[in-house]
Amino acid sequence: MAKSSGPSGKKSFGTVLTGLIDDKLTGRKLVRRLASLKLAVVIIIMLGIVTAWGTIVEAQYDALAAKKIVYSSIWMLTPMVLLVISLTAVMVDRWPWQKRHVGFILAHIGIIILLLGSLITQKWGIDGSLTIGIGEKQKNIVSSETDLAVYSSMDGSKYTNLFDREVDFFTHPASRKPLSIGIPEGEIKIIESYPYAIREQKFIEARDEENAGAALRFQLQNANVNMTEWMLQPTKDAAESKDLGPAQILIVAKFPRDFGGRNAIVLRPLDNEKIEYNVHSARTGTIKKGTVSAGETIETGWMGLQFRLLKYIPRAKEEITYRPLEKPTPMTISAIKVEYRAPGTDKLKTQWMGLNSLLKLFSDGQVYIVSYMNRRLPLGFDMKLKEFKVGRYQGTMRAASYESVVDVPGIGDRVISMNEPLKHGGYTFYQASFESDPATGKPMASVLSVNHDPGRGLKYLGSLLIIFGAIHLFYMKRRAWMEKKPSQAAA
Amino acid sequence: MMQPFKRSTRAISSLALCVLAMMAMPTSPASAEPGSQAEGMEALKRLPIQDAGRIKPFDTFARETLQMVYGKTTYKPLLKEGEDPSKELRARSAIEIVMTWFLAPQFWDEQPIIELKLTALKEALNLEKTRDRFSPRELFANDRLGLVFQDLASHRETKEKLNPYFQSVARLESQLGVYQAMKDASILRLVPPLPAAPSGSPVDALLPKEPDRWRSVRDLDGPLKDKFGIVAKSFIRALPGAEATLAEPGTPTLLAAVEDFKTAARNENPNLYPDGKDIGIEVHYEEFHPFRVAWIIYVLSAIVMGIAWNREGRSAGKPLVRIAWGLAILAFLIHSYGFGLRMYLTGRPPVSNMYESVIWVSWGTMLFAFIFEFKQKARFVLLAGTVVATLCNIMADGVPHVLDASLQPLEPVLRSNLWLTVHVLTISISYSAYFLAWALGNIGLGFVARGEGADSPRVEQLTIAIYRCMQVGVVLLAAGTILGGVWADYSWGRFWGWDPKETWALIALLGYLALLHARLSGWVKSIGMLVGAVVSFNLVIMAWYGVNFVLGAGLHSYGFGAGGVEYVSALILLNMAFVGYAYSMDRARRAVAS
Repeated sequence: MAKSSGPSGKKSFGTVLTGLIDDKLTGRKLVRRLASLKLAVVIIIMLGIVTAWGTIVEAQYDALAAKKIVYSSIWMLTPMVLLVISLTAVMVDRWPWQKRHVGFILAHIGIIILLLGSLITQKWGIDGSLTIGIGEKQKNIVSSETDLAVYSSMDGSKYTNLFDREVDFFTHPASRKPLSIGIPEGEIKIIESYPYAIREQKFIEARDEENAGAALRFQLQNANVNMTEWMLQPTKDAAESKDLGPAQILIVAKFPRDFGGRNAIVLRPLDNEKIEYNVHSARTGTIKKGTVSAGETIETGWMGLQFRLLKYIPRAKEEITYRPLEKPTPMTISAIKVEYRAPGTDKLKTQWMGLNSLLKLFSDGQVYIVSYMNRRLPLGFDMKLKEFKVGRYQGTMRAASYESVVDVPGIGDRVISMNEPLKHGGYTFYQASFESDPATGKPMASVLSVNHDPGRGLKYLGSLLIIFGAIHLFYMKRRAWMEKKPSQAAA
Repeated sequence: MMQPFKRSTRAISSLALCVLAMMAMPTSPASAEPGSQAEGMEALKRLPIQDAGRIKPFDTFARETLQMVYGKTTYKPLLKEGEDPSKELRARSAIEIVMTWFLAPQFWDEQPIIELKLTALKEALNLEKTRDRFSPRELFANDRLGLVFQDLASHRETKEKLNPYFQSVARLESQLGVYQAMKDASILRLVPPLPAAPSGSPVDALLPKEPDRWRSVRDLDGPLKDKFGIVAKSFIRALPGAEATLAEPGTPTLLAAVEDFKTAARNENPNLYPDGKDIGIEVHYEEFHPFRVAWIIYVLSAIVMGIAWNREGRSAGKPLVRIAWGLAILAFLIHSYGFGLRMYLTGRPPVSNMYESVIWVSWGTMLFAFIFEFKQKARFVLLAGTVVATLCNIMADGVPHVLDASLQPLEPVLRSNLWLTVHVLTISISYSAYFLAWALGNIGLGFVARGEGADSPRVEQLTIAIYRCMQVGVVLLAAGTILGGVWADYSWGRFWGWDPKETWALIALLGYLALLHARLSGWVKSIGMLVGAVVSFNLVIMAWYGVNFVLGAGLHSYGFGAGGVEYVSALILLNMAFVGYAYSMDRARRAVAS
């Protein structure tokens, strides 16, 4: 960095800084000190170092982490405030201004206005996203702030709000500062948090639960298809079905008479080993019957499709776990560990929950719902996604453009595409990305980023002043230079 | 599954095998192809093919394919043991090699043509660490390959960033994939789809499918298949050294065969078939190597100017200065011509990747060098400019695995955006000014190291030139950074998003601002400006190269050598050592003087 450059520096950074503190300073003298160019150099270098640190955090984690750890922290705020003080002081120090100061004043005021604009954006701006399924409507923006709320209910229909607050477990991990929420005669406490966790779904044995249904893991395979799936029957008397393109798979307690006129494999758990099955063809009715156990294969007879039972748990339940990761990926979410003491008892129960989910906690006669969600902000109107188009480069699946056709009340159909946003109702809507079906690659939903920026005008004004100022500044320098000898230009 | 086309060309394959057996033997370079066959090869080079989202000449396709699989755009067979090393092996063109993968796979399966450099991956596959290239057969037979690929697939599932090891695995996967696709000709998409077939509009509707997908040689049937068979046959005859052994009366010349196939392919769907003009321009662009020609002339100009500058006195060496100017202008015109060709071919200002930015920045450096040299008449400004331009154009021409020269379609977000283009051009041309300052700084430090002090007129003049460069750089970089804000605001709704590329451009700006303020405060004087011009340029390197190749790879790329990080780091260290040496010499000199 440039700090290694001056062979002739008379004062070190340290003496500049201590000089500010221990002298008895008059107002004018203080301003002169604060306006010191050397202090400015120190501040600029500080800003550079903190910012560089931010980019490293971003490379290792993600943009949100960089924002929370660096850019919105005291480390960034301190040099920024110092910069504004120094810029103001240097302008006061040069009073009364002369014509040659125009560039310098414009550039410095420009920086202050730009920073002011950023502050307003940070304070009052809205930066969220809007995910709309094709053909669906949305009226809420999702922002990156997270809220924790607790509701209670006696009968499951009327809920009372007991707690609702913004939480930030990234900056304040729950393990360091647990969050306690009082409920009458009991307690709900957030005792641990993972900033990055992967939600994993597992099916485990539930031998002691009489009513538990069966869980199956199976593979469907032919020359074109190969998929492996889990299925869980909610209770042993209930039916569960899954539509897998080439066939429908059903787990039932009793074989139905009618299969709805499609290809289906119907499975009925018999005992701890065996499952009875019917293979049903859309055209010819039931074509095959028999029993199957884990590891065995059923030849369905449609297009060489094979059904292989990989695992069979006669009585199973679903278990959701959260596996912490060091670093974020697009699949990770934040997760928290909830400790619950039911009213009037001493027994503690703990459970993990992920961001944007609800957790139900029961007690005698009461149910508590814990909600850990990204904040939703009402748009004030409904936005409907009528169509989503992906343009592709010829002969490839490589995307060349994305386009959302939205229907907005009052203005009708509008197209939002990459680099062509829609402005409406104080918000600007940008095409950010889309979600597609993992199996077929077909787009399912469009993701728009939604933005409201009250600081925009100031930022543009500041920018213009900086550019004009800088050009004027160097233009004046050149003229001054032409007149003087080069070796004196630095003075 | 046996492909129908393959069956019919088995006879050709065995012919090709004979030819290739000869190819592997050392041949003298003299046995070049006779005139008519050369014309045929030219026609084949210009055959349009659909690949990676655009229509390109067959020649470009072959070069890119060979570059990707083998790591070079020409192929040189390895000398076998016991062969006379003095016998020169002719380097074979990409088109010869890639075509014969398809015609004589039995031969190529045994040749070490798959480039694999990463030691960690060689270890994982239990391959010899001393070799950098392996044959398809030994890789496909490798029992660990499946596991390694599975590992990659599971990593992709969690969507984690791929580290250099997995990047290498991914590359190997595509290398083998491309080789296979070339073997069965499924990648050779030479015939446009029939107009009757539902050809998607540019914005294709809900069903994801590949719009306007051309048919590959594998999927051809009827007369088209036969016509390509004749192309293949006459191609083998056109191979150097083949005509004597394989003279077969009745086979048309390669030229006739290619033209015949082209006409038939065009008739399938004339609207989608290119007219050949752009294809011709692209072949010319690939063969002319404008940036190579440019750097050679830049070097000459630098040498002449260096000699002229060493002559004492203003008037001495005037004719030499004129020659240096003339050479520099000639090189600059060729540089601009290459740049213009690229713009024409891509249909956009070419600053969308590292390769293009290197060319653009060096172009800008020359532009500033011309202007400042014209004003200052100091000779060394033009010298510094030509040095930078040479360096950049050598890099662009010589390290294709880091600087990908292929013409690629743009990502959606980069398409058709005025602000983006203006912003990128402005920021990168500010790098030009800093690059020039860097070269001037190094020249100045060279004199300092030889004992000249701040009072030397040469150092004084250099300092003025550096100061001018920095002024221009600061204004352009500030403007470019703000224009980036305008673009981000327009496209994303946020003026400043702390995107690492933008942020590093800002850090570079802060670095130069700190330097200029330090100079204003008297902390930094002329020697300090020389040092500052060189040291601060590291920030530009970080913003320009480091964000993509160091930060982008998740900071783990040190030691893996992805994207040449170790070379760049070594160069920077050397440069800094030189700065340290020159600076200490200056201190010693001043200590003696006082």
